[in-house]
Amino acid sequence: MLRDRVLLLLAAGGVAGAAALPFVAHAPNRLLSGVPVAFGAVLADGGLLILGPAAVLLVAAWLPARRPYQLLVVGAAVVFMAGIVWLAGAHAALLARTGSPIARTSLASGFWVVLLAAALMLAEMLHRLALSPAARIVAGLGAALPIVALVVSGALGHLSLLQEYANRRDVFEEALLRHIEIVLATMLPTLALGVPLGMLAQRRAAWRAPVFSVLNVVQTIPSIALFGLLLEPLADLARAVPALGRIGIGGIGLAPTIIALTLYSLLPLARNVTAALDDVPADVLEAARGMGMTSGQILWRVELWLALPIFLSGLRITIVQAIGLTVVAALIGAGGLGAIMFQGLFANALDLVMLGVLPVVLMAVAVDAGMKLLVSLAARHAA
Amino acid sequence: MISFDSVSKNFGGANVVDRLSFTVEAGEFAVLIGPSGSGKSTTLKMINRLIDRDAGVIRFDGQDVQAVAVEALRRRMGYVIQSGGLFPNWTVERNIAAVPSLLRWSRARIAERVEALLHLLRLDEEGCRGRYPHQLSGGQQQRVGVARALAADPDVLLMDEPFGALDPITREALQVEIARIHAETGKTIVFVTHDMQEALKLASRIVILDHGRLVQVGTPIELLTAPANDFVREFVGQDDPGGRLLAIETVAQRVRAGEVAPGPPIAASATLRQALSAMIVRHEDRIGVADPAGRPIGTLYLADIVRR
Amino acid sequence: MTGDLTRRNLAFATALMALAPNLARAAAPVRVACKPDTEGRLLGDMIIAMLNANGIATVNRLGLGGTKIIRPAILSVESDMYPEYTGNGAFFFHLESDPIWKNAQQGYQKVKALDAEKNQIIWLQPAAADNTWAIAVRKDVADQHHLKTLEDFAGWVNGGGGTKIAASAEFVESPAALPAFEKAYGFKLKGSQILTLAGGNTAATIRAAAEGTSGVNTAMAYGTDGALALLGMVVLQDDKHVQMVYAPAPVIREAVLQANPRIKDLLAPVFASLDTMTLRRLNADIAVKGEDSKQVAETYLKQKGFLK
Repeated sequence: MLRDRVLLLLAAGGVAGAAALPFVAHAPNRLLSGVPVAFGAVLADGGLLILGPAAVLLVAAWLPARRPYQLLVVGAAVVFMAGIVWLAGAHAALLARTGSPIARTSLASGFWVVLLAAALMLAEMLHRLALSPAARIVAGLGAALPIVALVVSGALGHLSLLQEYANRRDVFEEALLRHIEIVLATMLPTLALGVPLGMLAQRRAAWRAPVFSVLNVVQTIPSIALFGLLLEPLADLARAVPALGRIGIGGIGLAPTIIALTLYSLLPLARNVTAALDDVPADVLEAARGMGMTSGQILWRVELWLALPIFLSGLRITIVQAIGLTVVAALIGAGGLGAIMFQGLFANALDLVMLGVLPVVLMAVAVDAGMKLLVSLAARHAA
Repeated sequence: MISFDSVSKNFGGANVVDRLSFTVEAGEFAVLIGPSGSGKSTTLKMINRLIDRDAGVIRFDGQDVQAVAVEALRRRMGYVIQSGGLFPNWTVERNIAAVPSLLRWSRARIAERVEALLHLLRLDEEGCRGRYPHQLSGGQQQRVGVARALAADPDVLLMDEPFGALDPITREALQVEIARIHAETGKTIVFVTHDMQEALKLASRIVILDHGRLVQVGTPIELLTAPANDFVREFVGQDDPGGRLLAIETVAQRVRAGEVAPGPPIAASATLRQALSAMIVRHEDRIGVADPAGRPIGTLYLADIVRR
Repeated sequence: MTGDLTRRNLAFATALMALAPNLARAAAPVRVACKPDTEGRLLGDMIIAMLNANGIATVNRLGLGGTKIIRPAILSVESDMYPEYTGNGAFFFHLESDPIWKNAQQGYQKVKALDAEKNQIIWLQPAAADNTWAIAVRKDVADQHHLKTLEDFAGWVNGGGGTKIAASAEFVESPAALPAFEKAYGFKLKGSQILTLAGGNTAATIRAAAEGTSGVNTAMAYGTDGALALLGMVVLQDDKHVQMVYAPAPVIREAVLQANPRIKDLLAPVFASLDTMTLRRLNADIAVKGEDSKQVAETYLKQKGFLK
């Protein structure tokens, strides 16, 4: 008896991806398109081991909705995901033994579809297990662990993505740290300006519309245009005050990047500060005033804590957005993972683009999960 | 204790409170009542200055409330609102300790006071102490609200329709509770409601308002027996004035001490309405009366109920 | 306590320095930038390697940004040197219609004189290469129809030859690009013979021609594109010099050159050694083989004996 349409749909999607799309692609060099290699062809050389977990995932839709079965599906998804990653790496190694040294084996669309289908089934199952937020994060990390182990072990070294990494290990690490640095450096002014701005909009009704229209307009300015607008005034400033120039403030590099990213980040943050304060129950505030709390006491003892969950949700959105936006920092010489991505775009090297984009996505997912945990902790008794 | 002298409040051109004058004596249980829009809540909130008056003088303990620092004024008045307004992220204990900690009482003194209030409101026996508001029933939340308002031992308790959102059974239980607390503590209480039954049951004095103006001030019996006008007559309920009188007075007020009657006795604290109801069910014209410990103390006769 | 504070200050200072690489510029290292394309990085890495190997400290600003970022950066003293193409002088000084840019030596002398005079920016020895716009044909097609020059290409097209070119919109529309070739050599491509790739770079156009995507067999290319030889593409010779010459040369702020006069003689032999074929080969190592530009640069410099 069919019990679950979502799982059936995901499993069917995975099967369709595996059947119709190439699993890996083997190209004579980095620029040319690869020859597609089907899932079946890869399976033939030693990949039959993953058929066990694959079978569990396929019948998952018919399994009873009880904990032991759900745990079985979770385990199968984890093993299966690690399995296809290993399989892709093994096949790349096999092709490398026979092909020319500049030939490249890339992960192809079928691989990503199957991986995504399995990951979604895993997420769905973890959701159904109704774990606490913390346990869900631990489970997510646990599921990623085998794949991380494969990456570290070097078993995937013949995949083009890992070759791109190996060719510019130093550059990658620097770019990653730079990326994080820019995001963190953006959050300081964003918080310093966004929180008071959001409070102002919430306390003074007359300010609300103007504050948010301005921030909305800022949001619509393309980043390149914003960099262009900032270039001259900042360069002039650095010339006029050489001390600023010496600490790195100028028309290019970090200063315009952080200013631009801050301007983009202000809207989601300030909006959520306003929404968070709006959401503090009016009767609680009336009771607080009625018992003789000063407005400062109300803010620090009451509003701050009740506004925290929505504020943290806003901060989560803001950070995740900033992680993505920081990619454009590369366009103005501030570095970060965008530099790798744009290098890949210029060179038409898709795997290099992936090397820049994947960590951005993973970072965003990690921050998202971590912040959600914080939100749920903050919201425990604020219901 | 509290006096209004020709107090007015204007919202958007209309007087919601209009030249209002009345006095609440120390220890009184004053109930402000009126239809919606009568200005009763506004009147209450002008006492602790959640709303500032526009004209006239409000005195608290002989002093113009406008002349006192507003936070200090409020800390001398307990305030209870309809929805409780408990801090959802604080435990019951911490909610009750709110005002004492604002007043920087010592830790030991706060603990002692919280203990006493948990006991007074019967919250300790229900294990509410360490719980969060969302883990409590509506009645429990409201009792915590009352405990919090009483925490710093204020001179008066201001209550804005405190039981308006509760189901009838819980409401009745809390009415008994607040009457008991009033009797035990002797606090001055100013209580807003739109429920005349509640007003007649609790009040030592009722202030009837309509369109911001004072219509009549009096004890429940005065209002029932000598309404100032048709508005009051209609408002206190013309359909069943006798029944309402019966609901106010207690058996203890009319019992003949010493006599013993057969059958299960009724509590001295029961209303005459309850006693009459019991007699009708039993088809008898008298009923035994017992003290809270269950000991017989006398008999109530049907004739005593109708006596003036 | 004090130790703690000091440590915290230290951490703060470290963080600040990380954010502001210029803070520690005691010996005024040379800030070397480049554009983010393959050849830009290759030349930038060569410059940094040569300077560092000869005791001149550098700050790595490689991949700073395209011409619209990097040119203002050196003008506003935000970077000290980077490799630039002589042909871009036409746009820097709004002399697009001046035929002088089509001559390698004269164009170089012109931009060198203008930039030194107006901006105190010095153009050093350029490479003996030309990275200008070109048209490349797949080798099998070129062999079959004996195509070596654009003259041959025009004859083939006019004789009804089945060419189809992949190009960027800019190449198709800019009067200085395809229309200039068409005018000079007397041919005209039909709309159906042009595949415009939105935002197309030469890696994409060359790949389309090499793989025959949509019947494409001809590609917009740059003279020193690394992909050409490895993907079996032949660049057609521009005997009439329709295009401006884009010879890469290091440009440096005069003040920085005066502070480090050795830079001129360090880089001159390196750039002199870089002819079109050499640049194509090195670019191919990076773009097609995927090697790291820094390694490619250092390996070449060692092979040629510029580095030990």
